[in-house]
Amino acid sequence: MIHFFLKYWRMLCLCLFLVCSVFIVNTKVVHADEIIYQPNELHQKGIWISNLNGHNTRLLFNPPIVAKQISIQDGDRYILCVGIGIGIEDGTDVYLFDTENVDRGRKDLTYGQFSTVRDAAISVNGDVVFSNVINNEFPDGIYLIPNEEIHETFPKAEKLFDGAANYVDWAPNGQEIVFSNNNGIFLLNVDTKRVFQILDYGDRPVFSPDGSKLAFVVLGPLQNKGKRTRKIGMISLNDPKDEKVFEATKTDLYCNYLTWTPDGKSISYVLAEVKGFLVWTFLFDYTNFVVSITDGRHGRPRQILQHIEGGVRALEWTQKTYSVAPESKLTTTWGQLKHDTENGGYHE
Amino acid sequence: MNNRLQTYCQLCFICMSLFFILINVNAAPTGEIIFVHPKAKGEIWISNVVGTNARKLFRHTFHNIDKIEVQKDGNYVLAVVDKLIENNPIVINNINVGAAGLSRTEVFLLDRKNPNKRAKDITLGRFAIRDADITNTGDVIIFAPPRLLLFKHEQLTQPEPEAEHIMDLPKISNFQCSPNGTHIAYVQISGSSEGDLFLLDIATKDIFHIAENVRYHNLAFSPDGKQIAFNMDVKKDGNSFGTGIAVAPVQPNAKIEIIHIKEGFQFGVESWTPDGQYIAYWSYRHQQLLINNIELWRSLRNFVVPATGGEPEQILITIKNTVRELDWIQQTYPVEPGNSLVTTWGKLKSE
Repeated sequence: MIHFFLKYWRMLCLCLFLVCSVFIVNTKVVHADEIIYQPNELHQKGIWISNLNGHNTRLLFNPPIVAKQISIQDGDRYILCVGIGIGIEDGTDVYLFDTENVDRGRKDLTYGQFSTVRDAAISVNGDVVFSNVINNEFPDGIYLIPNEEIHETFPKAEKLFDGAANYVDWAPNGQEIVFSNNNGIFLLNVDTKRVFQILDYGDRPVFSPDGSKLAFVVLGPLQNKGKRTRKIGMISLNDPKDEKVFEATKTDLYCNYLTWTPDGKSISYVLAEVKGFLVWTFLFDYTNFVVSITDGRHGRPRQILQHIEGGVRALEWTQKTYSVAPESKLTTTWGQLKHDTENGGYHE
Repeated sequence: MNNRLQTYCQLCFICMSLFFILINVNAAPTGEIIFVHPKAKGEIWISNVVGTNARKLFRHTFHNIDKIEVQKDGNYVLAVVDKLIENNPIVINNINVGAAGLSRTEVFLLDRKNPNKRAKDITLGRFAIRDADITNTGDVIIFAPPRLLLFKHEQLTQPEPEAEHIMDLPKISNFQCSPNGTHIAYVQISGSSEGDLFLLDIATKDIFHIAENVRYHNLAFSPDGKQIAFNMDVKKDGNSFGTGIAVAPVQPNAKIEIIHIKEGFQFGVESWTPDGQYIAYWSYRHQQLLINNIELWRSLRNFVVPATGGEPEQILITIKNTVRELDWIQQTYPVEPGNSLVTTWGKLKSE
């Protein structure tokens, strides 16, 4: 035996090396999930991308907006944001980013024509849906911008629902929309425009990646000084009796964002805490959590993205690798610049 | 063969006629709009009609621009500006939250052919200015109560331009020069926000009355100088109904036609389109009047309405606030500066 090892030790080392290499290569092939996020606007501007522990952060887009909602198309080509304009940009509108043309910047889809946009989502087909409110006071409804319109200079929007709607999300099949208002959570069929109530409570509903469940925020009753508790809940659409509220997520803080992890096993959420005021503006600090749905009602929330100063305001998961700077472009022609600025004038 | 040729010719003629008829039917406002950006109130911008290529026109920025007027037959843009003469930062809890200061009104000229050149201050703190305008030939008229003063265009290149006294005009608010510079229209103050509209012949000093109950501000001569558009308060059953857009021929005691009005809205006349077909205006509704549907919301901002009345069309759609100061020009401007085929990203960023 020893003789065998002595005779073939070089060959054995080579085999061992090859086996290890297979593992190394394999590890690299697996796609690491990353998050696209809007950092705390007091600390950083722009829309960023990072791995899950908040290291390796890179600037993806730098539009003059603060993204308050993010939606990523299944397949990761388009990123949709509801953005609050900063600087000379005004209003709260729906912006589209094409990841295949990163250096073209943002495309404004609503141009202030719908007063304040509250939430928006993009379907697997590239259809965009959004909810709005007039003068921050009067609810208007839910609108659909079909995918063939999103590249038009002024996309046409069709009203799908006339009434109060806070948050909207597409079902992964691209046929239904879930939305919330003060009366609970509803499903809206895009073709028939029929509305079906799912829950008589809850806010911020979000479809799980497989479309079988909804995560939502459970609002407690209003207490003194306008405070209320919030918890994270979940319901199965296949079995409405399978409804869970994760008690350990109970908080007095405002739930600023809610989304699923790509494996559909956890719900990620953002809590916002007022840190002060600057002139007319609240200053917030954000804390980011995930809670596993597999641990039942007693799932403990786990903090993520601790390394990002001030926390993350809004985030979505992606599996795509993005180029983060204009490639091979040290110079541009004025003709190109003119072409880029003509279709909306607002592309970076 | 001849018959076939004749048929082709007839078909061509019909197609071309149809083309021109359709073009005519779809005539829409053209040209470019020069305006004060509603958020960056010290910047002058230029854009096509819908706003898709809106961009800053001049490098020079001001503290605050009250009014702009574009010289139609030349390159000047006149700006009536609040010039900051003292600026004190406001600091709360060691955070700089803004500034407060003293300002005075000055008249500046900017050259459209040299957008990178600094603006020229022609009044240099010598007058207490209320309003100013520029004629097509480039003469500048200012109103520094009670004096109406004229800067002839040849004076404007001088380091300290000299002004000629035209006449005194007490109790007027704003004024507008006729395109050929021979007349001035103004509203003589009588009520809290409205008065009588008069026309002054600068050469003879003759004055005649055009209309009453005219809102201060916002007068606009048609490009041929034969009509004037202005804002007029309209009452219904003794109560205010709205501020409409009125058009009248420039003649004594003219017949006034209100071409556009909507209950509860104030419309502010801004400019005529260069072809004289449309009038550009802004639309405002008092905040105490509910805006609870999206159509009402969309009816605020900037529009054009046919000068003979009709359906308004939105302009400057990409600018998400109401533009309060704009003027219209026929010619279009290239985005690129001359003699520059390429630029570096670094230069672009620094600019």
